Amino acid sequence: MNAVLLIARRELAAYFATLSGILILSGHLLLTGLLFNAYAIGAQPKLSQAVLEDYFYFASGMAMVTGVLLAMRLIAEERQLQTLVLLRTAPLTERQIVWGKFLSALAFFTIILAASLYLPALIFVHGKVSLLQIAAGYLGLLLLGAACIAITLLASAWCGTQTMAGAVGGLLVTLLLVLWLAARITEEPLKSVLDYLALHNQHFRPFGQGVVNVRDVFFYVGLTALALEAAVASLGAWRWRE
Amino acid sequence: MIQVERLGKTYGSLRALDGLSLETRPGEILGLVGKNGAGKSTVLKILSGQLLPSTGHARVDGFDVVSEGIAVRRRIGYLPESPPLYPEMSVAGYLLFCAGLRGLTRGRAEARLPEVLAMTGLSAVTETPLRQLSRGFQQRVGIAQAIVHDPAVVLLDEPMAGLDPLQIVQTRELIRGLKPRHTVLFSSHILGEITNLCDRIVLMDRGRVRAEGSEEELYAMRSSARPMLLRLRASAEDALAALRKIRGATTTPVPELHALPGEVWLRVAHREDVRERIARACVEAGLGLLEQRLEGEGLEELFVQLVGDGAAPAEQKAR
Repeated sequence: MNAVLLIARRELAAYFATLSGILILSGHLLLTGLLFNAYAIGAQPKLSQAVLEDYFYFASGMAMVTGVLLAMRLIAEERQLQTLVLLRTAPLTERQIVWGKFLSALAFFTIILAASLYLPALIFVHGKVSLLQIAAGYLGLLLLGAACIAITLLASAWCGTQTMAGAVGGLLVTLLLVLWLAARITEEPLKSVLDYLALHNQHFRPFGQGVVNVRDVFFYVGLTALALEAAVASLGAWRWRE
Repeated sequence: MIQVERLGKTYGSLRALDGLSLETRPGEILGLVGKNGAGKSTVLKILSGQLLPSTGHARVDGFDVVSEGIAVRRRIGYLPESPPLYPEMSVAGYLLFCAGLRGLTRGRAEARLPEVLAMTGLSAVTETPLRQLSRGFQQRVGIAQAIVHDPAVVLLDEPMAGLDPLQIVQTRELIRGLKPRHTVLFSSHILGEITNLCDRIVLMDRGRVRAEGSEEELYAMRSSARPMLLRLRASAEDALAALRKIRGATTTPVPELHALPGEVWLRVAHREDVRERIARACVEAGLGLLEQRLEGEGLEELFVQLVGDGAAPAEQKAR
């Protein structure tokens, strides 16, 4: 566990010490703020609940993009810089490496989310806000972001460059995102399967409305765990492949 | 300390290691020498747990590199050809991170750090970001990370590659300083770099050991006695006349070596040690003996003779 935290701490420090980390943080906050003002608040008067629901809808899109951007460097960059050898020749398991990497990105993502909390707080100025809806929405953003980080971390374990990892991770996330569209043109029982596997549609929307369903939490946690285990297996396979 | 038995590794159809066997003793410095592609890095990668062997076994301190990889990696320090550095980290921060990865507590790592910094000559740059260091200093940091946890075995892959002559001398001293405490196995494709450094040298070619032994033992393996070169202050005629009388030696001029005015270079082919006889003959004939040395004293020539153009000679071992 110490090694996991050690790796996570170093990676987290690297996000703050490098331009890319600062750009992702500031870019996320800037775009989320613009979307909040332009669409969530909008020109027409709305109920606070509707403003929050719209905010979480747009913020979920930003969460997916940010998750991909944060995770694409995690392993592929080490491979590019030839520093992965340091971790692979240390007395660590692949699981410790992957979890350390994942936790660093998740911690940075959580910091980004925490920095965006002022946006829903602005609604306090003009109306009443349900704190539970905010909590549920942010839990949804955290779970969705964690899943996107894990999926892109898997891509990062596959790829030799972080650009390629970002492209593959983005593609995987997009494929999972549009499964609900594929569900609309298929019939049962495949329709239900595709609907369930869709990353965003039926699993995220309830969070934005302030509803936390155990099955949605289970979906995101399960997807994250599955992607991380696949990354562990992929990292281990390099010993055979090289 | 390290036992490698009939180790084989193939990359697709390419055979990088072909039944290689070697052994190191505790506290020994062993140099793996060979041309590019001889399989040196592959051996080190297998021993450090980065690669799995296709056939054979390798053990470090009694632990198998495949089935007991974690235990092996706890006992080794490894420096790849390019030092694995995080450019944004400081020297001290990086070494503490590496120590933590290898299982040292923060307290033990901080206690060990000054010793490692002093050993590697990094005490003056502890807070400098790694990206600002010169290539030579980065290499020192690379060696420091390999020994920061005080491992029994240190594996260094081409530790002097890309360094300037002064840095090579400094790195050689650094590696020599590891000897009392660590068993060192390192690779090089430049024989001149490892002169007077290794207890034993293993000459590798095409994934196999071609010869092994100390430098002196390897020299002794040469198939014929090396000719001797003489630089004399005399005319060629006088010198040849004086040296022709020496029993067991054949003397010829060496026009390809340019002599200064009044001097001459001669090559003496010999079947036995004739150095004393040459000196005596020169004194008796009144010739000025300016230089006397065996031809081709460099390890490179030895390597060419033992390995040649890649044809597989019989394996040779000196013990």
